[in-house]
Amino acid sequence: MERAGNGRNLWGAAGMVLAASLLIFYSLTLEQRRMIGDELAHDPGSRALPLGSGLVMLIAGLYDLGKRLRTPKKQERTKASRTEGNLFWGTLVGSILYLFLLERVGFLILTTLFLYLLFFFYNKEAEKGKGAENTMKAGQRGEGGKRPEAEKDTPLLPHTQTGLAAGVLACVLVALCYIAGRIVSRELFYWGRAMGSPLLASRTVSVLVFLLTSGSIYLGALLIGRRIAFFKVRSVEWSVALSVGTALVLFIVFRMIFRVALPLGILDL
Amino acid sequence: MEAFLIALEQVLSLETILWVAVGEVLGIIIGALPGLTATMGIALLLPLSFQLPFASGFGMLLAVYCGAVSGASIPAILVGIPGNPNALATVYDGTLMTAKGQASLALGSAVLASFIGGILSLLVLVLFAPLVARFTLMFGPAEKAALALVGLAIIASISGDELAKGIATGALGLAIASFGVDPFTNSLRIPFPEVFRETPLATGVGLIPVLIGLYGVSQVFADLPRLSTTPGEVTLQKFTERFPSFRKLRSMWRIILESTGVGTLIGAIPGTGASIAVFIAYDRAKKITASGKHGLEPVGTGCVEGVFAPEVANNAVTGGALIPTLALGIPGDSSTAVLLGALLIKGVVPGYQLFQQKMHLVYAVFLTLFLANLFMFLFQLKGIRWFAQVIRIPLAYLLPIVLILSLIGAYAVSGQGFTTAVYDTAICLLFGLIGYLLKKGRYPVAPLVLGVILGGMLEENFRRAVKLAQGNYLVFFTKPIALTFILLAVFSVILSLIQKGRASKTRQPMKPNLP
Repeated sequence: MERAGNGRNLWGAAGMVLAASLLIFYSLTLEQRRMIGDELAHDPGSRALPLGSGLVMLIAGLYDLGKRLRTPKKQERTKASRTEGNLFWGTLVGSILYLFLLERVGFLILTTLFLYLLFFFYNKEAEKGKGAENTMKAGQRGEGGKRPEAEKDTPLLPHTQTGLAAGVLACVLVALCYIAGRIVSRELFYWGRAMGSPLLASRTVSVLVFLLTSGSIYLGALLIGRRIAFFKVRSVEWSVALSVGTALVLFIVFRMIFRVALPLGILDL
Repeated sequence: MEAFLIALEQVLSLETILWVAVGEVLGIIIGALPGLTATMGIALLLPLSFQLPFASGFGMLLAVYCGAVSGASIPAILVGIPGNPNALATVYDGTLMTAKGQASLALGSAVLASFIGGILSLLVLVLFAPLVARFTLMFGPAEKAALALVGLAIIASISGDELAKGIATGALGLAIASFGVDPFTNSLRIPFPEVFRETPLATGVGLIPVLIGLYGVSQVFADLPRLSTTPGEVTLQKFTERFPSFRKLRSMWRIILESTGVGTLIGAIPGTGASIAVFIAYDRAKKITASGKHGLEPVGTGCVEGVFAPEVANNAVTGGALIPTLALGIPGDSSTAVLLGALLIKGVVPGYQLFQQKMHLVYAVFLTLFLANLFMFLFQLKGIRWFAQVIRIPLAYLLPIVLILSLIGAYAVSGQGFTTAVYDTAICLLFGLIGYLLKKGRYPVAPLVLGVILGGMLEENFRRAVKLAQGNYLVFFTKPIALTFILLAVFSVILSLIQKGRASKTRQPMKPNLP
């Protein structure tokens, strides 16, 4: 509707009217039942709330639509860029895929990968935006396309292939952290049981041991990666660190402390 | 006394103290991050609070609320960008003080003012909430239905300058609340019942996934165009703990009292919020200091008075907003709407019964709120240097974390097996999308949330009242209290229209105060 050329944002109001119409239609298809013992039909019935809400929505939506139609054309319209649209759809489709694959792939691997991809593509978009801004500023200063001195240490954009390979590495790292943490904490738990030590066989100690083992591997890998400048691009390094760290923290808090049934998927050994 | 001791024992446990501290730190960080609101912070931490005992879980949420309201002053003072609408009025004098090289004094004043506002409003809450709750003893079904209507009408009428939009989203919330099983007839009220009969959707839409979706996921979608925004630059200066002198504080007594009054009162009016209170308090302070008497500097020139007034008011809102939430079950603002959701999920039903039968829970709320204010003062003061750096976190890192916290939060709260958890997460995502579309169409989200929360109460009492009156729909106009509530709802709508008319005459568009 916006593209029809009238320059008014009618989508919101039209959407509300459509939603209200659907709600009214749905309410009318509902079976009208009254509460038990209401032989004289004094109860407004089970349709009353959805139908009433639908009617109120319809009236309000129509009023809003009419108001927007009467509003003069806007002089300027801010249109979402194509990349922004891609990011929106990418995030939405990614979230849906995340839900579908959660059970099969497992929380740790999938969360790390999903987070990494979001960090990676969002950073790419952010850097692009800043790059365009810098070029514009440089142009205004008459410096052509040169990067300002102060921003020379800003990392360049990573190649998509390099970036995606780092995503796979992030998944490997989180798997390593989990496996090591799981093996050490489980062995200690069984050992504590065999020794008859309630402390070593307690859940709190298991969680702490898991945290220490996986945390050590995580920090060690990051430090080594940094020392040998493995990732070269700072945003990739941060993305790997944050995606693995966030997934591990959420796993420890929700699955290990609060016992939420987060699926292990392919890591279910 | 026994109830107080039980509450004290719960609140002074290491677990509660730790979770309140965690909530406070997270709240200040959320408040300091421009664009993230207290409501979103509370919604994101709801699943975690769900896993904890009442005092620890609800205390953590209250700490997030206080921390986020207060933390918003950090970017407002340092870079001139309010962390959320609560700090809109702090920007004026705060940035001027920073420009004068008085950032430390401005931040110290903001922290102290927030603490004073929070504690004074807590006193008002302790004194008035039980009295208001006692009033509910006179309520029958007709009064309760009318009360729910008032809450919805007020929140819709103050949703910016578009009353119709507020009403539409409020009605949408009521419709969503009706999904599931009819409480009176047990009949299924879902679209395509043949398809969804055997799914978790048959029991309706869970409140937590809706809240997380509307405030967490939708924010991620809405903030995507801001990805390339440069985060605030904070000079790594050494912040010293600086407070206004005692003499200065004494001279500001009227500003403090008036701002507390304004904040508490505005907070207690259902549907309003800190963003209105701060401007009224700032305006009052401007008038008080205009004469320049009693050693007061004129507000607007970069002075402590200009930071104190809005900061006392916005934290006074926290206590005020909890009065109708605890006593009537009608939230004072969008944050308390989510807090009300947290109470209901824990099986705590606000109203007189709560004050009569579960007073230890009420005391636990009061005590944890005190603890939250105390931690807010200590942490923000001692950690100001680090909290100030939070402003530098780029959105490219922040948004994915918010998204994953939202999805996992919705998943974790169901606790009924994988299928239900995935359904809840899908609902969270769906409501994220709905919230995003509403924001794009400039529809307020808060009336929708309130509609979802109050829908059950409204329907149940409406139907019961009509049934008891033998089908007479005029019953709401024959009972004095119900009639008063209906008149109040009508009055709030008319007032909103008058204000809108005035605003359009002076060509100053009213600011929508709700996210």
